Amino acid sequence: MSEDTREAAGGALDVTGLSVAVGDHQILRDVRFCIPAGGSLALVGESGAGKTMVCRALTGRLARIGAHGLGGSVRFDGTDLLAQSPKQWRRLYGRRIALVPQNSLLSLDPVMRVGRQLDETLRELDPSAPRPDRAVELLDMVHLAGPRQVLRAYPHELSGGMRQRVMIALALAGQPDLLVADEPTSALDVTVQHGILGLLAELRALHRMSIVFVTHDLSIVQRVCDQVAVMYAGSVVESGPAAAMLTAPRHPYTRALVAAHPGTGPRAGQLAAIPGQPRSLLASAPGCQFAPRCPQAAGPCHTEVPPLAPDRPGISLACWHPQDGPL
Amino acid sequence: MPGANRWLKRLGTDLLQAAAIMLLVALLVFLVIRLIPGNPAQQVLGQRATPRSVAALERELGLDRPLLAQLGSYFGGLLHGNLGHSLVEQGVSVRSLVISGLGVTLAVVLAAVLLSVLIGVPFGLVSALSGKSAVDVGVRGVSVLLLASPPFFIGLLLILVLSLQAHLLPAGGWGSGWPAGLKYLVLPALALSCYLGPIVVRAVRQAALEASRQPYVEVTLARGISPRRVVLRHILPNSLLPLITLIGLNIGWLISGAVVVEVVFALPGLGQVLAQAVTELDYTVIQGVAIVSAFVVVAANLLADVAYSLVDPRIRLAR
Amino acid sequence: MSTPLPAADTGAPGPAPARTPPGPGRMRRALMFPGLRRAWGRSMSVRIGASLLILICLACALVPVFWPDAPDNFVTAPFAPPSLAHPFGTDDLGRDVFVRVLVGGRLDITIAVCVVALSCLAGTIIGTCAGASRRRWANLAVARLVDALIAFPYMVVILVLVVIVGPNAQVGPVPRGLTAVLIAFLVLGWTFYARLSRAQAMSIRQRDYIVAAEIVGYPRWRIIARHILPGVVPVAAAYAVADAILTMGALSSFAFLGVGVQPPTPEWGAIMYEGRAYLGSAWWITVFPGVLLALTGFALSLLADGLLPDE
Repeated sequence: MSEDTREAAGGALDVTGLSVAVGDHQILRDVRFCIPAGGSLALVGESGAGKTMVCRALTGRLARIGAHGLGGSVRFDGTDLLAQSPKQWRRLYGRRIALVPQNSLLSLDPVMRVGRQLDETLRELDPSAPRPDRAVELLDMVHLAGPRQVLRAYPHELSGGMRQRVMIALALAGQPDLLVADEPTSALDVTVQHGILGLLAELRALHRMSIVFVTHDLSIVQRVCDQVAVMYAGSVVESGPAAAMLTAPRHPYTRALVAAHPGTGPRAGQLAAIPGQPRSLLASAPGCQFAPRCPQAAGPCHTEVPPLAPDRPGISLACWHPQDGPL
Repeated sequence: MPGANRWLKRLGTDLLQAAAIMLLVALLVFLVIRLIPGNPAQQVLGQRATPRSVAALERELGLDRPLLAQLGSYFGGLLHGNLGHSLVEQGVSVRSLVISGLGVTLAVVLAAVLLSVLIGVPFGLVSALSGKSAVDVGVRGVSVLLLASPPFFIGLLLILVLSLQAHLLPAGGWGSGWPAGLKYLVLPALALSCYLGPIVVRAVRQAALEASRQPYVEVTLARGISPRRVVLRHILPNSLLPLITLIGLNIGWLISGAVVVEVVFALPGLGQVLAQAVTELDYTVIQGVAIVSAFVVVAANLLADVAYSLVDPRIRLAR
Repeated sequence: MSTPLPAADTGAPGPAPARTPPGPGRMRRALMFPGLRRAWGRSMSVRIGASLLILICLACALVPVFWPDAPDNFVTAPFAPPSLAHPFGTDDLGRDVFVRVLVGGRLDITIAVCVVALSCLAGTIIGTCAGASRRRWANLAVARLVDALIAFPYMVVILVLVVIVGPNAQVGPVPRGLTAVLIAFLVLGWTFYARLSRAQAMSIRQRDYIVAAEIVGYPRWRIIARHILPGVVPVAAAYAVADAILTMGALSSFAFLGVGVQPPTPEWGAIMYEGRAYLGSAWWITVFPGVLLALTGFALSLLADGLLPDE
């Protein structure tokens, strides 16, 4: 295996004021977070919060869906990703930034063998490597048993877990600095999830990559990530180190999320639910987007958007009335 | 090979179904031919024939036997590939007539399919991938126009322009020998491909559009694969799949179109055989042409199905 | 070579396309194409197609009435090239080709529409009933019969049927010789609609609202008429427009072969048949009917494309 000898781990990501609109709808408003080189961030939120759009911004796939009204900046090791042309993106893909998508079955060409697709990626990213061996190496790295059979198989012949490992192998083929994983385990059942998460944690340590891990499931956040950013209705509402935030969150939405989760919430009694519906993309309220559902909403909440500001050491918060105390 | 048994079983079912259809076809032809007014024996011998000679010919042709017996020998003959003899031309077997005609017709059809695919696929791809552009609109507009023009009209236009005015290609007739005979094939095949071509363009365009919207295209691009390679190695193969079924489905129309084109270009194909048989009321030949042409269509569809199931790994290897 | 890939659909949610709910009024609504007016506004191809079609129909219907030359009159010098007096020239017998083409158009268009309408009606009903039938044998029998009929290249069948019916039969106002061709077209035409509707009906009957209706105990005919048929009709109608184009082409092809319309009745294919011997010298006799045929088919196609946007 080629030695991974990077002196300075690349992959520092700094997102400031990212705003994206698609059609008539503002999908992202002023998203802000940052990851140090080698760090790992979980992006958490409900469906519609804008997590996938952030992934698209990070992997240069905004143009394809007709996104416009781009504001803010996404700085990756100093380069503004929002300003990159498609040609420049081609140099970034796979080599600096890689994607692990959610649905592995839909993400592979169904009529081409897995081995050929792996081959194709290697030929593009690592032309010097002796290919059959390098492909087997990659599959070993993701702990796929019987790599040669896997290479000969078609995507639909593999199980979900195996396929997702293949996707991870494909993403790592070019030794990227940043891995963007868009709900990589949502389509898998729990036991398989466990394996994939362990794999990601191991690979992250091995390759010193930065990771952005998108998920809606709080319980798996701490297995892979140090930091968490909670998103609601297109903005980050609270972000900081995972451990601190998940034990003592202050934003009402984060608190509700943690309380509602069977694994992280208080043990006894009824499952807590968050009243109301996730915000509709069609209507956007002035002021804090969470106000219509927030038990604490009062005064400025309905008229002014709270800025994301440092609250406690390392934690940023966007709320006019943060809460303390047990959940 | 995993799933081989299932595939074989499927093949078996397909074959049985095709056989059932052929049976029904043969039966239909038998019944319908018997509906043609007039007495074949009388027809052959002419108006001035004596009743006795007519009766003698009837006995010879087996036309006086009960219907079921005739049906029996009909099917018996079919199984041996025996289609009987021409009523009009003494001693000529229907099979030889039909096969020689079929050869020409199939040549035209195959050439048309080849042309349509070779021209249609690139145009379909370009049209799909160029977005909502002038190219797309242009290709689709021309496609629609060609599809609306029956092949015989295109054939006539081609003759007018390429033969009579420009003297580039012969206006008709047929010559054997290779490759000298090829020039007789060009215009007829071109005329016929004006029917299939637009259909191919439309199908490829649709398939390419759908393929390009699939997540795997986006993800493959995000792995750093060049757009050109994505088009050639991922979108193109997926766009070609529906063509197999499409061609199978259209064989009937193609043969029909070929028949008309043959008349325009005076080709000695199945059309000519049939036209002559119809004029002379040569029942056995008409019967033979009907059965064989239907057989070709059924066989082509079967082949297309089998080919498709072999080519698409999702079907080939289905658990 | 950089090949730009098309933009995918915008992920932005928009108002869902209005879908008429299943129910008694749906059939009426489906038959009246409520989308027609909307389609006119929405799509350029509908506007062009419909306008062109109406133009051609009006021309065929009205112009010959006012035109100085009648289609059968031997007017002037034969083989006169196109001119102001005779926009399409004159043919071998000195008849004005322009008015002949327009009169012929009446025949072609009317017959194509009638044939397609009848085939569509018969085929859709048979196919839907077969597909929705609870008796498996009925369904299969129709399917095999349809498959067998479709297996024949239509050219072969029609020639045979024409021979059977007799080229000189006549029924009512239908011109001599055309009766046989019409009957032949009808005998074959319904099969495509039957196959299509059967498949569609079979897929619709799996749906929950049909199962619910069956459980509640609705009578079979009502389920078919009120709930299954409305889902089948749009698909059949879509095919009908394409079929109209092909039928017109086929009709002309037969006339061109000398089967069907007999001289001196003008019809596009027949005119081309008469003119084909003079292709080199008097090309206008053969070309103009064909151009009109293509234009009509083109208009129909545009109309179809616009009414049923597939992407």
